[in-house]
Amino acid sequence: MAEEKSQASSSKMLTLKASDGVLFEVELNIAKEMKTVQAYIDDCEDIETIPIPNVLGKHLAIVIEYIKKTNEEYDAEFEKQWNMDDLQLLLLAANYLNISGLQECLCKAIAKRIENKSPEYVRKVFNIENDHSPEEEAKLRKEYKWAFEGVDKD
Amino acid sequence: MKMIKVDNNENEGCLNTDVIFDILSRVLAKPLLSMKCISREWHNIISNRSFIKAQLQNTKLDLNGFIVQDRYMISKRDIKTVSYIPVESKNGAKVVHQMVFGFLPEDVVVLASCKGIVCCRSCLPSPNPTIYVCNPSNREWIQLKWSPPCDITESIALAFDFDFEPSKFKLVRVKCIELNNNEDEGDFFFTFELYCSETKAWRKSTEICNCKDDMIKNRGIYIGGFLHWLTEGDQILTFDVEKEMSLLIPVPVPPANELRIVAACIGEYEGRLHYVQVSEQGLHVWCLEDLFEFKWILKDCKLLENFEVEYPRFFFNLKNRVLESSEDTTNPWMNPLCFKDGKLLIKVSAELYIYDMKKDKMVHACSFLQLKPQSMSHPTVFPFSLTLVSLKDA
Repeated sequence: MAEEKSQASSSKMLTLKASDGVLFEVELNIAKEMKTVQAYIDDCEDIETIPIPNVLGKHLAIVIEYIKKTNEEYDAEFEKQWNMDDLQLLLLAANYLNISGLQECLCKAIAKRIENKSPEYVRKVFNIENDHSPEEEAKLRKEYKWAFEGVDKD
Repeated sequence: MKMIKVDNNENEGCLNTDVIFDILSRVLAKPLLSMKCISREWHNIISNRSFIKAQLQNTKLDLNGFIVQDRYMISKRDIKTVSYIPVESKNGAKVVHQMVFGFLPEDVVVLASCKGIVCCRSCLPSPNPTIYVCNPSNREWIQLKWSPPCDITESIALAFDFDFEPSKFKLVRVKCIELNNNEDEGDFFFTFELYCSETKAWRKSTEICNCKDDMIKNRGIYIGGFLHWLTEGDQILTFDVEKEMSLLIPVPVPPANELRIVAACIGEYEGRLHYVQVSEQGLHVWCLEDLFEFKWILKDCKLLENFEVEYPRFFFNLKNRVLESSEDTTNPWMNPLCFKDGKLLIKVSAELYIYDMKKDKMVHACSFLQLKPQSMSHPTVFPFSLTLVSLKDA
């Protein structure tokens, strides 16, 4: 019954075009969850196809599915299916499309995955160059040694 | 509307600073400290005030370790040994750190630990007694005068909530005084003095609490606006910091009154005061459901025999030893020293263990001698959580 209602009030369908040309037909109320898209619609009312230049088709599909299905249970299981690379790309998509629920879900997931890892691992994951001088880094590691190293100081 | 330019690179997305900020604000304090060395940008993000505020809102504090403070001896001179036992260590290593407070200008005695902020004082005797409020995670500290008379037995507790603009806290100084009312026996009272970080001044409270027993394990625990201290007489001295009102909460009385409570401690878990006791019937953990109704609920109990069966390498003849030592209250065989978030640091004979109530798991933390104690009486132990909170605003 609820579905019929929403269909009646937002029967308008919208087409989203991913960066690799894949097209997705979505209902207006789904598309509105993406605030970036909402702003686009507000600007140009008659638009039917909206380009999403920063997101690949495979990720846009996942994002749309998330919006349709999101609830506590779904969110808890959602992130488990994706590897770190996909998580980051999905996060970029969520950030670009401005979907705060999805962004929060993905940030939490990534935070959890990097929490117990070494600095080297984390640098690799985010493709970060270490611009600390060796002395700086040694000093930092020494300062926080008592907090996280399993080495007996004495 | 934010438009982010992203390289249309299929293999690697380079996350922008805003997104990194969002991710890191959901990471716990301990790993964040180690992530400071990842790059200069990350170091700056993690040290940034608005980041710290977001991180405090998005994460819960984790119990990271126990601070163990050797207690003064009969001579009333402070012992300078303070140790830190992390809750988790790599490869099950027996880890103990000293010099955790080495960043302070002098040797100190730890008085209180609340949400990652620690209150300590100069070791007595001292020419210039000072109180320090510090955060060992970022080595920040502020000092205040400790006005005489400075009694080695007094307790100063820390009441700290997360209020960031600026970080405010209160200190409550509790002394036990005797008032003679022209009879042979004096009456004992607790008096309270408050320090407010906003006014930077001490003020004597008009509130006093009549209690014949002195505090033991001497540290105040701050939960939801109230400070709690365990006393010798099986009552918990409680003080409402805002209203400046005190009351005495009786500890939960176990069903069999002949039960000898060998040792006990109090601590916070899930926002409520808990009471942990060791008796001939085993380890009991009670939760204070309703403060004013004095309503306690039993959360966990384990027979001493079960400890022996499950951990034969740690505990041999546990029940008998516990009962034998119950005559000597100064050094019980099995002594719960500190409880927080479901984890209990417990001393059994000369070894320290951490018991995880939720997982029903006991691990050996270290030998008591690793703490380099100079006093064989039980130390005062404080739960500690790493936090990024800055005291600079206080």
